[in-house]
Amino acid sequence: MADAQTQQTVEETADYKYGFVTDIETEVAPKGLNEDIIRFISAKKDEPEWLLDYRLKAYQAWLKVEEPEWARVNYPEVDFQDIHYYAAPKTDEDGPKSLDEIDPEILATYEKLGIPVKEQEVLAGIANSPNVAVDAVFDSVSVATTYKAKLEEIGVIFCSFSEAVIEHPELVKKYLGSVVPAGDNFYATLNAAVFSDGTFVYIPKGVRCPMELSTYFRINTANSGQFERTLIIADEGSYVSYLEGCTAPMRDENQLHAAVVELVALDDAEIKYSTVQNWYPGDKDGKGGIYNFVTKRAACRGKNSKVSWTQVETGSAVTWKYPSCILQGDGSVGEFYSVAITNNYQQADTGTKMIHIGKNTTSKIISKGISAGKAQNTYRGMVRIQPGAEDSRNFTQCDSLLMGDQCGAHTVPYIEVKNPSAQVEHEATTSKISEDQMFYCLQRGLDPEEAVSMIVNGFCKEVMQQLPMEFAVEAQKLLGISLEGSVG
Amino acid sequence: MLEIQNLHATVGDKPILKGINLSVKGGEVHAIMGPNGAGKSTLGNVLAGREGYNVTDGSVSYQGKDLFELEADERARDGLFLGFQYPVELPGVNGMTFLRMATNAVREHRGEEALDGMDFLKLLKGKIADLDMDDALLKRSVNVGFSGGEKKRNEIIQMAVLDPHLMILDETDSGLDIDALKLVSAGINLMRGPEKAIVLVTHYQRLLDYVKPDFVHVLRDGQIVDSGGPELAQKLEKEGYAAYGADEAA
Amino acid sequence: MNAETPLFAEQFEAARPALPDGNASWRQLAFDRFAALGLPSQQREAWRYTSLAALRGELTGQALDSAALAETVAAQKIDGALHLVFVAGQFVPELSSALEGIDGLSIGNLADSLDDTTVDQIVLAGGENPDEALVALNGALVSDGVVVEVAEGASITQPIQLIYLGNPTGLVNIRNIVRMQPGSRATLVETAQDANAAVLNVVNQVTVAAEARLDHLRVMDDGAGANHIAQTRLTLAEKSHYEGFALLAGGAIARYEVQAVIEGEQAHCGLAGIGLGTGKDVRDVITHVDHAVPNCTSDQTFKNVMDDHASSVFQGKVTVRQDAQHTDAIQSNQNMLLARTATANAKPELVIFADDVKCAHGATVGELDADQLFYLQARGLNEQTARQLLIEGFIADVFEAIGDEALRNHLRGLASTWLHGDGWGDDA
Repeated sequence: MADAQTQQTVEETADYKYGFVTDIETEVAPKGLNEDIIRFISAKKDEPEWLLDYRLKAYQAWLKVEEPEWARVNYPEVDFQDIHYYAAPKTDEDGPKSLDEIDPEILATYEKLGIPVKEQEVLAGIANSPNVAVDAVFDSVSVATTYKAKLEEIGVIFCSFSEAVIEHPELVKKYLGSVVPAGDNFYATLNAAVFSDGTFVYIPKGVRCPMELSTYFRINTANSGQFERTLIIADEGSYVSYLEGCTAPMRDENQLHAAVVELVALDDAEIKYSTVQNWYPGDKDGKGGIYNFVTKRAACRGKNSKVSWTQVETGSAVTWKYPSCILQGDGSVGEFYSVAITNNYQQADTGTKMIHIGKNTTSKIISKGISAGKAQNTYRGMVRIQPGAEDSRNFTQCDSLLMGDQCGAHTVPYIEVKNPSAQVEHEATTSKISEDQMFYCLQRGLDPEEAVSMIVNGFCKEVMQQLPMEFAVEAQKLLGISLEGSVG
Repeated sequence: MLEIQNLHATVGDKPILKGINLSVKGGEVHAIMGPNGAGKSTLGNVLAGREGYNVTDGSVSYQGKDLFELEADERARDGLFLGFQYPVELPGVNGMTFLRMATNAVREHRGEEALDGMDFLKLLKGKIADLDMDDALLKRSVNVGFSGGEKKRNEIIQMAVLDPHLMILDETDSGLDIDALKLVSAGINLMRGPEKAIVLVTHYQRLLDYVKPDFVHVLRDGQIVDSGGPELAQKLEKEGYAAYGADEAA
Repeated sequence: MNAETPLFAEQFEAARPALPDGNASWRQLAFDRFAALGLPSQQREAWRYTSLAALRGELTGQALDSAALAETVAAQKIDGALHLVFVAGQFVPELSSALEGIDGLSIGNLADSLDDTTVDQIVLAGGENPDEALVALNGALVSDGVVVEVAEGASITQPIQLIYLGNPTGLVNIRNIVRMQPGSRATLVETAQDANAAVLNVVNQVTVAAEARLDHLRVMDDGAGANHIAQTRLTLAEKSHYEGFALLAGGAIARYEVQAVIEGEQAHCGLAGIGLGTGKDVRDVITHVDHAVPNCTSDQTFKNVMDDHASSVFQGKVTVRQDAQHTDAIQSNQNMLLARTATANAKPELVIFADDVKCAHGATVGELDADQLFYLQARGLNEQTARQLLIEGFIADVFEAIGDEALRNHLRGLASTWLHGDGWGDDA
């Protein structure tokens, strides 16, 4: 028979356990991952029952899966219970008070990229700076609304994922998880359970989206990019170009970024997806830095559909991503253009998978890897031609540039062909910037850093040409900056 | 403009230049001739500051400054131009962009304003017209897939646009047919001027028919063993280098 | 450890008494290593495309008809070579050449040459890495092989040919130790033709000393249903030269694995091969050339022609270590598929830590060019002949890697026989 004190203790404990659920106005869930947290997240976002179910099933599956170890990257174990899965508390007490407290290297980069001071404050997470995505600061809510209105006129849906769940549940339900199923891999499973927010795009039949859709224009809460979930659907005969990312190094307390991006292209549709990623790469000694584990996949479902991935990866301490294309529809086309730069202690294991299923499918892979400092850069790709992929073509060119002898560049391509009419060509080279090339540039008056930047940009030219204009210029600057300290 | 005193230099461990003395003033055209292995290219590379070439003795003053105090790119911005014997390829680097960047680097150094795309194009078109060439080469990546002649023409275009003070042209005539040679020579002659000095490093005499030198020097086994006027070149053409001693083992 | 281990343990115990040094501790050591590793499953990257199911059943020996043997052997002997014949994993002197009296060449069968040095060498080779379980198994069960040492400066012009004949249900383990002393030269040819061993597990340990050169050819043309796994562990010293060539044309599974470590500067490692497959054949090539020092070169050229449900595998790896500056390494893998049901798998891998290097690889997969076929047919050749001609053309240049002209023609002839054989080349 329990005494009064014991009973009180029990009651108090019971209250604590459920406390945060009853008090939905709180923005914060405590650290750790369990079913309650997931329910909390789902409730917080007002999600329908089916989506909560989706999350819970994924969570159950995640408990059974093991973290993969085959990638050529080493990193200290991630403690999954030491993460906030909903809106990490960015109280002003915790953040830096002024730009003076920010790593001078980062400030130097902001300067070089021409970012105004106010914007720098937002990026660096200075106390009292507005809690919204970058460009929206200066182009207030009204601009974003005008933009949205214009798109609405032609039937283009471009909103946050959370919004889409509420406004367009049929579409979300139809396509969510259809390209990257919840059980696909460790991080995709985690993402399916705890995804925070992301982008939803739907382009209706025959519509050519008149402007480049950029995440700059999406109003969202900072720090929700941790478990981003993006879904883009291009209906028959449509076209969209989507840009994500930011050239400025984004500081984030959250180390683990495990996003999932699903693209669906129906008959004669085309999606162009460009990324410039420069998450905080860690300091010169390899401390800190973001782990960027992303699953990106495109289903080219329709006949003659096309998906083109272009990425410039210069940040993150550890990058693990393989934007892929499933070329299902006859005549579909998959392209992958990538520049991956690693410096200091960064590690990248990135590449693509092109799975040819339909007839007359084509894929093109151009990968340029640059290693400097003590970094390790691996290209890992798979080209698979299934038996029914009559007359398919693949061309792959992976080139690696080594700067210095302390780093490594590795190429691991898998080529699996089960149809004789397919033509597959793969070439890879590894080299360094030759002394002759350097001297030639120096003798024409360029200083060593300019020379390296020029040669590296030349090396990456084929990829950079794929980027939409506004990104291209910044990305070029970024290449030069990322390689600083690697010359001489 | 250029004072070379007792210059000794090695390539790696091997001594190549063994005491060069040479004085080049503004307005002059000098020709340096000699058999292979004499050190002709080495001289150009040492003056331009290429890595791997070590000065072991002697001094060089350029425009009154100690040349060796400057890095290779600093010398270039100070107006020292080396025309390469074998210009290297720069894949993906657009010729026009490269030249504009180099031009602006020099201009900035001289305290002049950088040229934007339009203004640079104007400058370029003017220079190319004077040279009687066209800008097709510049639309391609620097030297990529260029024939020998195209590479030399490209060097001349760069030289014209960068407008250097001291031009060291390393075997600019090698591999050229007569028409290309005439074109290249015309380009070199256009660069003459009271504030300009040109040093032609060559093996053959025929370039000197088109670009008449004021002085001719014979480089043999790392030293200048003879100097004279243009007639020295004619003599070498007839008699070769035998008069200057037997070939040493390479 | 896995389910097969008890089965193998039984076979090991049963086989020991008949093996040379059967009860020695080194065999136990090798077997323990194997037991700890178990047979590699297809989950292992290096075994991704090849199944060792054949090894999971019971493998017992069977006597062979000696009269028929003599005839078979005679047909396989290469003119002018020194012949060593191994039947069911045992050296048969009566069918082989005399081994004494060749200046500069010290050669004998393994069973009679198990001195400490040789034993140590066997024990040291492989066994920690789960992919090398078969090397460990070979150490435990090896019955015979050859120990060859070519003296310093000696140049052996006569090719040394090892002829392997197995038995249809047996597991045969052969281990060859080859020591090329400084400045020596020799040519070694291993042939397994209609060999008919259920599993022929060969391990070669080759050391090429300074300025020595070994040309090492291999014909893997085993009988239908046979499985032939050849593993070579190779070290190259300064200014040495190794040219390896393999023709994978027979057996259900033919797997050619080479691990080369280049330890001395200015050395060259060349690996070339041709894989021909039909039915459900598997032609598996897995190489690893490790450039540990600067200024060396390596060249890998492998071409495969797969028909019917056959599949080819090329997992070629080049590692260039941090100090191995001025390395020049090339890999090329070209595959031709002749049927909708055939497969080509390629994974040419580069692992590079030095920056002043030239490393490149290329891989292609395609089919017979329709325009070329039509051209030949328009000149009067029937389709089958035209196809054979084009395929021979496709693989022709790989044979150039073979230095000795007589051997080159011999192997070209073998390939040609395969290409003109029954049931091959017809459009399904």
